[in-house]
Amino acid sequence: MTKEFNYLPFVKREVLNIAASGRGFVSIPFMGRNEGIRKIIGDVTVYETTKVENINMRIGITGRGYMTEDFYKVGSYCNAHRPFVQTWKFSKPYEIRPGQRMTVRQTARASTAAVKGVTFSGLRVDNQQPILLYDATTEAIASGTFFVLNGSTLQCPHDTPIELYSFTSSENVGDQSKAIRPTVGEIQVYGPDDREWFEMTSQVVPAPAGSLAHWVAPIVSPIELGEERGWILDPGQAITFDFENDDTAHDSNIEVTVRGSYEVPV
Amino acid sequence: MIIHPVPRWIHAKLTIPQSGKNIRIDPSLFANTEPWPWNIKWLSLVGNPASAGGDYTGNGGVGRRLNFEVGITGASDINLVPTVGTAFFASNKLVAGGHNNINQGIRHKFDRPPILPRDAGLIVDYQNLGADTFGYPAIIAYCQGVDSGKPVILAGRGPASVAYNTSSTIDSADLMNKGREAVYVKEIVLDPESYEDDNGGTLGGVPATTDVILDQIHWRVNPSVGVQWMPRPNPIPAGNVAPYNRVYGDFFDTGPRVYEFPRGTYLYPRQRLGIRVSEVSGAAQTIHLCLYGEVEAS
Repeated sequence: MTKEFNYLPFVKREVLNIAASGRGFVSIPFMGRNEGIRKIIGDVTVYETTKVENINMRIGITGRGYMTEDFYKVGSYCNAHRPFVQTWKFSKPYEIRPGQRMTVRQTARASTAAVKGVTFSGLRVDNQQPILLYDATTEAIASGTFFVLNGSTLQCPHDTPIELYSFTSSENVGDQSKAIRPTVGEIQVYGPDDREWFEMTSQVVPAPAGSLAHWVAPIVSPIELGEERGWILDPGQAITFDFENDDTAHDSNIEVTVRGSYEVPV
Repeated sequence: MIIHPVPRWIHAKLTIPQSGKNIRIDPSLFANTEPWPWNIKWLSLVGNPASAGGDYTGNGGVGRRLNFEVGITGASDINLVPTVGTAFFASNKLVAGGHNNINQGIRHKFDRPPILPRDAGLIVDYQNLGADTFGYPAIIAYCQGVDSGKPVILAGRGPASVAYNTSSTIDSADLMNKGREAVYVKEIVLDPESYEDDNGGTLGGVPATTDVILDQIHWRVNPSVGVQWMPRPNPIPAGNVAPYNRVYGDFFDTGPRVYEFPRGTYLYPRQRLGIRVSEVSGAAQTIHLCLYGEVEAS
């Protein structure tokens, strides 16, 4: 059965600094992928190192304006909880074909050396049986060391395409008793076309979050949008965020992470 | 015949006397007074143990101390085996705990989203029955256009911080559906602005005030036109409105719990839910029960 579309996972991140009592605006434009491609906005995470309770926000779509006239606390938008494990469930299943292979590049950021691994959970298209693509290091990785996983077990089998539904990293971050997740390693995932899922245009990194970390399992609760609430952007549209810093004494470093899927014709 | 599902919450605050006494809930309370069937979904329980003594924090709290019997009129008044609350209200769903520094709200997703016509809006009341003053309560409603499928957000924030025993109405232009089409209300998020840990507490610590807010910040959300969602005059505790939310450390004491009715359970017009509660330990308890379902208006 030929499919009309494939859904490529993406993660976009922007960071901005807002002065005390200031305003800030960020637009996430999906550069270079506007031509006829719709975007499903899966979820959004807004992270601010210490003063997030002072940040007000409104969300908009270019061409449609903001959804609300007033600004509301970031926490008021949050409708999901952090996952127990470091798993990202995609908005739509992502199909890869026989012979294609996923690649993951990661640093071990935990305090102790450990064996690290990743898993993509999927279904075989031919018979709808579950299949895992996985790989792990064979020895403990020291903290801060980069390593690459691209073994044959991350390759689509030769006899059927498979649909991937989620990605999991073995980094243990599920402690619900912590207000902020422990620092995890940086993770980069590359599809068979060598496109990296994570796209970040700015080099400004608010401490203490790592620039490439905390996107598989968000550091704070995400705002679930998704197709079920109509969050599909037409070609050329961008999602926009308008921020207001209530704090009269401190500026704020804000990190906005948008996860979703590109709807790509096949 | 087109059915328009309308969410319906009915809340009861009960004081259960000491051991050996039963409470039969007022027969008119959980009755279906509408002319349409009411597809009941769940019964939520929130309670704050009167005494801090004993080991209630880790062992079931108010639920452990109570026996419940529930039944529908017409079958038999009380037709379930009496069960201790801890077992009866064990949720069938895995509920993730929320705990971070973001002052997050609690959410309720609608199984079958109600429709809010154009030029209609939401009317939101809140009340603080707790001992602490809280922030500016806010509501966010995630909606979707009925015809276009485009996203819509309705929102409102209270006019002032909420002192003990005060109430107010959220009156906001953002709560009106100003668009050109009706919208489905997919989900509401109620944020008392101090639900999570960061109400003066230290990050990473066990939340001090979290449990209390689920039980003591009360909400009432109704559409400005049509069949009401919460028709009774008193607002309903946040934990009863949206019980599928927990926070780290809430155990069973004031953290909400849910009994889910078997799929397809209905209260037909003039039928009611009969509930008997009995206290099995020493002290009297105050609890909040809330019945939720969808009135199938047609």
